[in-house]
Amino acid sequence: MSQDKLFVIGIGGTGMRCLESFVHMCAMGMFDNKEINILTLDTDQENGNLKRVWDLIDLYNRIKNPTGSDADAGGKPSSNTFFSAKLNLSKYWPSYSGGVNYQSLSNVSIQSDETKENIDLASLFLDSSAQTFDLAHGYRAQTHLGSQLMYHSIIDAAKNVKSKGNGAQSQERELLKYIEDLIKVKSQARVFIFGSVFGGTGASSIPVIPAAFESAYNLFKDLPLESKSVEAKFGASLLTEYFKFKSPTDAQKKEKKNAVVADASYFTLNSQAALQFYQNDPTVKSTYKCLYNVGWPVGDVTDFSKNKNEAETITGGAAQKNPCHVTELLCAFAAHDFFNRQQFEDKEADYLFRTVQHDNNSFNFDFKDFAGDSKQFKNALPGLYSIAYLTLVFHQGAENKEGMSGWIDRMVKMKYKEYENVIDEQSKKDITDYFKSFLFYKDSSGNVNDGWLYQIKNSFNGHFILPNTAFAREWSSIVKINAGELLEDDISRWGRKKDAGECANRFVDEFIAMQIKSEQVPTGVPKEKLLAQLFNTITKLQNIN
Amino acid sequence: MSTYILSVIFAAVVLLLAALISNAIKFEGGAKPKDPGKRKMWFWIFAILNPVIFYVVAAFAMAPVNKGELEQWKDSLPIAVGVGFVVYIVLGFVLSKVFKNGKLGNWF
Repeated sequence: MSQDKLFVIGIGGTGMRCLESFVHMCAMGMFDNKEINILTLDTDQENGNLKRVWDLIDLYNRIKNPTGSDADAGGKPSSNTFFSAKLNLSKYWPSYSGGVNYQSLSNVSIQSDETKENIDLASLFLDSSAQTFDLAHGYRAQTHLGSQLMYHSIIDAAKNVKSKGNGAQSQERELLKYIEDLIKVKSQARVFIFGSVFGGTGASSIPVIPAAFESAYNLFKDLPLESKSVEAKFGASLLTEYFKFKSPTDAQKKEKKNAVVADASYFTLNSQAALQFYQNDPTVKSTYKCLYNVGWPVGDVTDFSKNKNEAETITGGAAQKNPCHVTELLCAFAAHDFFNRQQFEDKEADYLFRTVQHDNNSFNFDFKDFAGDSKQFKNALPGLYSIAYLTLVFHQGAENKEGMSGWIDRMVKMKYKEYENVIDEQSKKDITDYFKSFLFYKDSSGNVNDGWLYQIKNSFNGHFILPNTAFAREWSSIVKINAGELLEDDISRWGRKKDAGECANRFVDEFIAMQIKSEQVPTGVPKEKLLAQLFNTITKLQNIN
Repeated sequence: MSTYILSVIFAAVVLLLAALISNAIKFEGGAKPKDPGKRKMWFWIFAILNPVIFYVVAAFAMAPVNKGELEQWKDSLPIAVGVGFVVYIVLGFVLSKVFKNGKLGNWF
């Protein structure tokens, strides 16, 4: 991996789910020795997917934190272990609460001689309904409006921080610091942007982010507006239509605040138009180094409204908490490719894509479809799955208990007391909670709820990397999964003829003999050592060639 | 001499039985698993049963008819029982250390 500084930006609901996949990749140990600066950018701070990724990054950073104090937040980057990347989270959202719409935001609602031309100009490009809908839930697929508003929101943030300093809103200060950090490292910065091109916020923002960052920085530093201050290499996933949701009813559209509602029936058209734009726009072509086309078979998209009793289209807010999809994981791997890339085209953007086996409306995903011949991924995904599974099922972590004590107590019973009474209860609970978000958990009624990996598998028909039996939905079937039989190669199958208990014991048997290296544990705290030793153990057992 | 040999053989058989039972006890997950305690308990149950059963069986089935031999046998039986007990414990300890991370490792 290059020594460039890495920046990731998630925009809108889809961008947040891509970011979720990216963070899980970091937890697998796919970004060794990296410090990654993440910016979440959404118009809707109540969005369910946004909150979910904030919670996930917060959990990740608590697990990485060696002492629990704010000064050590996020720990240090490490290598050859789980949670190896250090993540720094910045949050920004334009303040659109309180019934804000385009007219009130841009003052074109005030009729005067001074604003007359502005009103005429706005009316030329935006019809009346687009100028008056409530922006609290984002740009509602109105990308012509969204691009303008997002650009100016970033500029306004820079103006506010410049004029008010610490009196500016915290999200504005976080945004400016993020932009400064990005510009400070000049051409060593690699920035990858996640978002859809067929929806609202992501589609509106991807084209304008590089220009908006540059203008905001120039304004903040009193530089001429045309200064080329941003030297970073930009990459983005161009994620086209892969989901739909309930179309708005006439009754919903009659409400003034809902006069404009994103309609999924236009997503195919939106995608087509967006791809034409990204293919031809000279600014995009000169700004971006790599653009990764990620698509999905038309007509076979996931229905987010399925099995939900929705009276009307959900435009955003806490209710917009959709499950993860395999395309989002592909976008996360696009970022992985971008961050590992050795060379870039000099002048124009490189448009990249990859195809996956798809027969009879069924996919067949293998390791190579995500990461080429990466042994790292082949070790990391089933490795984390095995440990998470044994923690949740054998050590009962899925059932509102803390599962890591099961491992430690088993070690103590085998006379290995390295981790006895040295890891605090909160840390053990955090690691168990992460495993739940990664695989599955049982609610108070005993129902199995999908974690991230299960959601990915269930987002399409077909095979997803691991055996289909590894994604059983019923608890009675889940307990029969063999965590040591996830890979096809004989040499990597360490759980033959063993039940979960025997697998766990075999694992601890290897664990006890395992050594760890200093670069795996830069802070040297027991929690970090435990994770590194777990990683080494599963790496030895899986013996990936 | 044969009593001593039989006592040692009997101890080995009982130890094998203890090993089979220990292996049949499944690993338990979660915090504070009870399976190691169960294996240890069965090891010590057999450690006690070994001399008791051998003594009773020997007393009823192995006693010599000849009075002179009987007296001598009566003197050696407790020693043979003791030897069997010691052999059981020593062999159990050795097995426990050889398979220290396996199920038999819970014996000591």
